[in-house]
Amino acid sequence: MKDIIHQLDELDRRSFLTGAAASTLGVTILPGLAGAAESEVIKPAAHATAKNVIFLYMAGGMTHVDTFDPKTTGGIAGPSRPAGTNVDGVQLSNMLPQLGKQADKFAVVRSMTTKTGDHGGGNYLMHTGYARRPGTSHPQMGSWAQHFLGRRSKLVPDSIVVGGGNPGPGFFRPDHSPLPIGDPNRGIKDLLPKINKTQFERRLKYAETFRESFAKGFPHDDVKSYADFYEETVKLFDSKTTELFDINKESDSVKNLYGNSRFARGLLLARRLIQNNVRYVEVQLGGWDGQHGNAGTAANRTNAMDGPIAALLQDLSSQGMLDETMVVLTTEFGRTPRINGRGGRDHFPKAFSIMMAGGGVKGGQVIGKTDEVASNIQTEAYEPKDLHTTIAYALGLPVEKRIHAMGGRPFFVGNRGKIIKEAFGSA
Amino acid sequence: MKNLRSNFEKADVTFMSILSRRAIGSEQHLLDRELRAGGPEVFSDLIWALLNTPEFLFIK
Repeated sequence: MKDIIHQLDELDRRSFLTGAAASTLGVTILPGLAGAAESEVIKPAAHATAKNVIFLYMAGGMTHVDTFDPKTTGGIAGPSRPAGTNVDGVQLSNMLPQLGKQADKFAVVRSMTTKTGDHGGGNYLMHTGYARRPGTSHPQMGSWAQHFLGRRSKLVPDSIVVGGGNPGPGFFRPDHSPLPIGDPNRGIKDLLPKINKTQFERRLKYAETFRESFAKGFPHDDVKSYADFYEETVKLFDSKTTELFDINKESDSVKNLYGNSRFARGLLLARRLIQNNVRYVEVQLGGWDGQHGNAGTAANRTNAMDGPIAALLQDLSSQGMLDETMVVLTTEFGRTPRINGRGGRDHFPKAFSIMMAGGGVKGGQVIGKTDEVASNIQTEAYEPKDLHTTIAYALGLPVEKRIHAMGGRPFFVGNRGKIIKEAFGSA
Repeated sequence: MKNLRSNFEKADVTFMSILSRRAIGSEQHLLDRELRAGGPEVFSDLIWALLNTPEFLFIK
């Protein structure tokens, strides 16, 4: 018993001091370290169609009926109506007018399903392809790509997450962590040291002295990995690197195309980062769960996503980047087609919609179909792991290759899902 | 901390509170040297550095 109390004390002291360090001293990134898998760099498979990924995450459960799977059925349609797009025969909700003008660039998948109806579990599954299990930590897709293809740039990290919600590098080494960015308007300015250069350099000198003696006594991989990660972070503070993250360097016309919202600026930053050799960028738009997904929420959120995402597709296309950059828009689950007593929609894992564009995806098409009441999938159904396998396939990652981590347990990128073949224009 | 006279004692108390061990000779000398050279802000930098050592992060 005394031991247990002692351990608790130990933990408290540690977490307190770490927390204090984070909030007062500017140490903001502390990756988890457990049973890291060894890296093995290979060439992307010959069938690869995408080099980069922009992952748009609609946090909170995006209503499929009010976005990509509109219906006319009474009690189901809610606030939206099916509306034509720039592609004959493809209809979206009339709440996405700007995206409707770009429909030739993307494919809608209406046959998504998942077994997970809670936000935390759904978020994890959609980011990793694996169900959340205590004691296991699966990597997000950008970390998988880095594992197989190697880190692309010495200057910038391979994965960057704007807005949080990403579970991180899982069982890969900490240098596979996505770099988090809070405010896209500020880039990495929030991460920069808040002390003067002399003091910062002095701190690094001390840290180096203390670290060296410890590393000699404990030459462990995790120790080295943390030191590497630390060095990488310091490199980011270089003024040339901060410029890569600075969207104020973009022209006014481009900024106006995207708009001023935080999400819009996040998308502009994503494009800028991809252009500067980042492989995987996630941008999150939250708030889909607001007040149980009522009619007001749907209008507000569809409005928030519509213009900026349409701008992203236009911009990527006009810069010639869409062919090699896959844009994926997804969410943890859908919303009940039937409007509830509060005029809103509840969680609905049974059927939902996602969108994919670029990176080999054939645009201007709708994949899958639900019935009149948007509840039952009438075609082949796809799960989150299938989406992951599809992204991994497009990146040319070896989806059938077993890797071992966390004490020799087997894992696959995409969790052995099936490829959504129609997305690439083959049935 | 104010009641401690020598830099060596300060080094010991600092290491005890952060790493649960005493400072070894070379560390005591580093603290002593730096505290003599700089002012109190040097002390906060030393604590910052200790909180960022692998020793603090990894030894549980």
